[in-house]
Amino acid sequence: MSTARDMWEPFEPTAANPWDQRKVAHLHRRAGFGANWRQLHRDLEEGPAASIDRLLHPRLLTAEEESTHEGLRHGIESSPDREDRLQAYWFYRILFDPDPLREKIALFWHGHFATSNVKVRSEVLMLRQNELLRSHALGPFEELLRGILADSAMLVWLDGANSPKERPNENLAREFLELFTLGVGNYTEADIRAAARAFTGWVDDDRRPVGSSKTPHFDPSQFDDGEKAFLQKTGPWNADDIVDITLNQPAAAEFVCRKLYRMLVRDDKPPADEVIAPLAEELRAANFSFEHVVRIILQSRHFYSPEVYRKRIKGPVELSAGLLRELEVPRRDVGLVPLADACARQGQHVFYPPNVAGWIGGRHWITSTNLVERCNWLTDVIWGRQERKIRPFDPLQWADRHGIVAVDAIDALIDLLVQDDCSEEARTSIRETARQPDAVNLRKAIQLIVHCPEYQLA
Amino acid sequence: MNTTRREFLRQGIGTSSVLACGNALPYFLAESAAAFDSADRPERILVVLELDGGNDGLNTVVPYNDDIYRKNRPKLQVPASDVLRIDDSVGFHPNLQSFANLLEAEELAIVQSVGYPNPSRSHFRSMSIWQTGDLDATRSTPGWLSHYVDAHSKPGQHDSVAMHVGDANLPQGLAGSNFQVPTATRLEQLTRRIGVPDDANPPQQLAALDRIIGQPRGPAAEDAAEEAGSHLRFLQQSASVSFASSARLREILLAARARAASYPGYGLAERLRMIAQLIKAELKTSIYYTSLGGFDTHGNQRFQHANLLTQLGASIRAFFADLHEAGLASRVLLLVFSEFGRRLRENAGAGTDHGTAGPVFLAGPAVRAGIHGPYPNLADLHDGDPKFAIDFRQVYATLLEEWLHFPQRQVLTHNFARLPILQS
Repeated sequence: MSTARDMWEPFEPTAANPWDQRKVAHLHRRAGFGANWRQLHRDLEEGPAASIDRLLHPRLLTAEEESTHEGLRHGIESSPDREDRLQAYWFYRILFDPDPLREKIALFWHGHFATSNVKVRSEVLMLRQNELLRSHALGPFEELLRGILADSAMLVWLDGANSPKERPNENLAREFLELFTLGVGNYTEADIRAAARAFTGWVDDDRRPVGSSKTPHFDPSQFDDGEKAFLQKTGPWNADDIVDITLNQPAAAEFVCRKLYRMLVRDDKPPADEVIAPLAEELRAANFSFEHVVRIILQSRHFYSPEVYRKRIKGPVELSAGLLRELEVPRRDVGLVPLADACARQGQHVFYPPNVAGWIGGRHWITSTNLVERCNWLTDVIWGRQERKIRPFDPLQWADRHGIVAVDAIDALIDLLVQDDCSEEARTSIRETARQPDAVNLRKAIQLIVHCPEYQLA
Repeated sequence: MNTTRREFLRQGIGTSSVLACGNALPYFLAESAAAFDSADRPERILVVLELDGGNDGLNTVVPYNDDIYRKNRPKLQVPASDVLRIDDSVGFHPNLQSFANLLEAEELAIVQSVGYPNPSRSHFRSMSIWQTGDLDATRSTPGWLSHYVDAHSKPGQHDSVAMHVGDANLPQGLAGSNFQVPTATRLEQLTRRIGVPDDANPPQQLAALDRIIGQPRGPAAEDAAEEAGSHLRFLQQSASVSFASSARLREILLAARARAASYPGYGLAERLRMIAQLIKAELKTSIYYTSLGGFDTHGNQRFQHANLLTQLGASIRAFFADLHEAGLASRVLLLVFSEFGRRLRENAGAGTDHGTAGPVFLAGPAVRAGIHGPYPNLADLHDGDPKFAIDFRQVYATLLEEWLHFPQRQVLTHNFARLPILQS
């Protein structure tokens, strides 16, 4: 057990194992969507504690940023191209927010609570859920769960509002236990039925004209307030009670920690129980505050060990938005809608997860069509693509902005994008391509860098 | 499954992938050297069609004379006057005229009451079970078809033994093999963009890209924990397979586009049309896998389910018509299944919740047409649902041994009695 506890102790840089570029880039890939040149160097200098702290407590939004977000949100409510604007809003925040960790975790919750607009059919309701996930991303879990059980998009998605007192619909209750909190094997079919009764009371708003989006509301007369036996506790439970009882099960903290681990640490193999147990304990002790556990993970020896380095396959959003962030591609050069589209083609259509279990991730991101799409997007960002109004990346301007002379640009870009991780032959080939460092050759060389398999890994 | 066997499978995959990658030359480079032997065109092709969400078997093959059925489904019952009668007990949902036609043409077998012991009503658990043939399956258990893929694949071969046609994730039924199974969908997705302007030597850059993505790692990376290789090696190998297979598929689909075959405008029809094109193109692929989603009808089931059955029937009809015209139908067997049926009793939302056993369909000239297995006994329920009578692994055992000529013991935990569902 002491080994397991050691792994979660904070990482302390030493001469033999320093805080280096690799670790900084690794932190930013996992806790966000990748670091740009300035961030890489700033965090290298400031050390792990300051870097992690900045991720967990970023600066506040400026008035201008708030106003931009307001404008983007308003467009979702009132425009004919609402679907595009919904996607654009989230990608805008992913690309430009000072708070990439929150967006990353919100994306994780989006996969966890996997609600799809294909059934909800309301961008406004999907936006509300998105804001709920964003504001509650780092916990406490109890509030997030309560919020999601009262969230209109979720109620429509899992038939929570189609569930009258006399014959409750089991869908929401089942997925609540199986997918959101405990996992199969930790409850019975009877528990599902009890929870379904506790979740009653939500009804569709009949006053809305036929064909427009439903917004469920709570009608106490439709709530089954009878005694229910749930996870061996009996009482006139309501949804809040179900959340409380569920979170008191030992399995709850473990279930959620395993998912967090997979998202932040490695997705190639599941962790042993001894690895998760200390995290689960911490989560419980912190009243299910994710901020606490995320901090532990991000500052741990385990997180910076070679064992977990490059052990995640980047999801489409990480890969596609990541390159834009790393290269600081200006907003006018790449539109948000083509970016959203590219992610959808790569297998991650945000707001449209494929089923209630969300995106499986890991190796499932790689099928032959997805891989072609992934490489195509990277190529489009570098070379431009006229039909989608994507302008070619300007490597000389990038170098200039960072005070790097053209002949040194390619080494700087190798450091920025893959650190030391490409093979000798690859590095030679990349350098050779950029021997005459004009824009075209540099683009070729960058294209080679991002085609290294390492670039597909976080 | 006992632990030894599971461990063997896990280790087998790990070590084999290392060996396989030793030969991972980008296939397209070897293309000109490889001779294509048309005698290798598969005699027997299995097409698997997965109905996602839990198809309501009782409204698909309707027990129209059964009062218990009517009593439990005041809103959702299919009236006796509407069913397309198969016999005195059951009939098809009225939207399945094409199934009725296939049955009449002796190209449809219906296997009733198919399920497994201790049924799970969780989509993912039950789908994993169906996709692996393993009652203890988890999401990472290899698929039932992956063993066949492993046994019949060689590094450097062109055509994958199995292919997934669809937009969703690779189904678990095909996952877990050492050889990545490609996915074929829309043409644009099969086209790589190089980006390099014409005057800057795109072919040279393309060659450089292919080298770098398939490059063997230097000694430093080899050392960095043998496991570090696993994601990397997987990516390298995947890239080679993906690019080669995409290019070839694109060629085929472009060539075949001109030919008109009349398929209805559904997504499923488009996928089956693509499969037919690939079969006609003489790919050596012997397993195709696709799916149709939307069957999880918890609320307002009537129209949604009817709609889906229309799509299902019409698409399959067009598929076999196409194959018959090309003289290839006798080589093709279509399996249609779902991860469970739905509850006997309708819910208050005019829908049904997750159930247990349900019918499986097999289509093609090779089937022994008609009804197999007992009618669902609605008087003898388990927890409100009909009990299964035929273990789905018996269906698999039959398909593995009699169609794919593959020993069932390499897939299933023990020998299952086969069913007389195929012609000998």
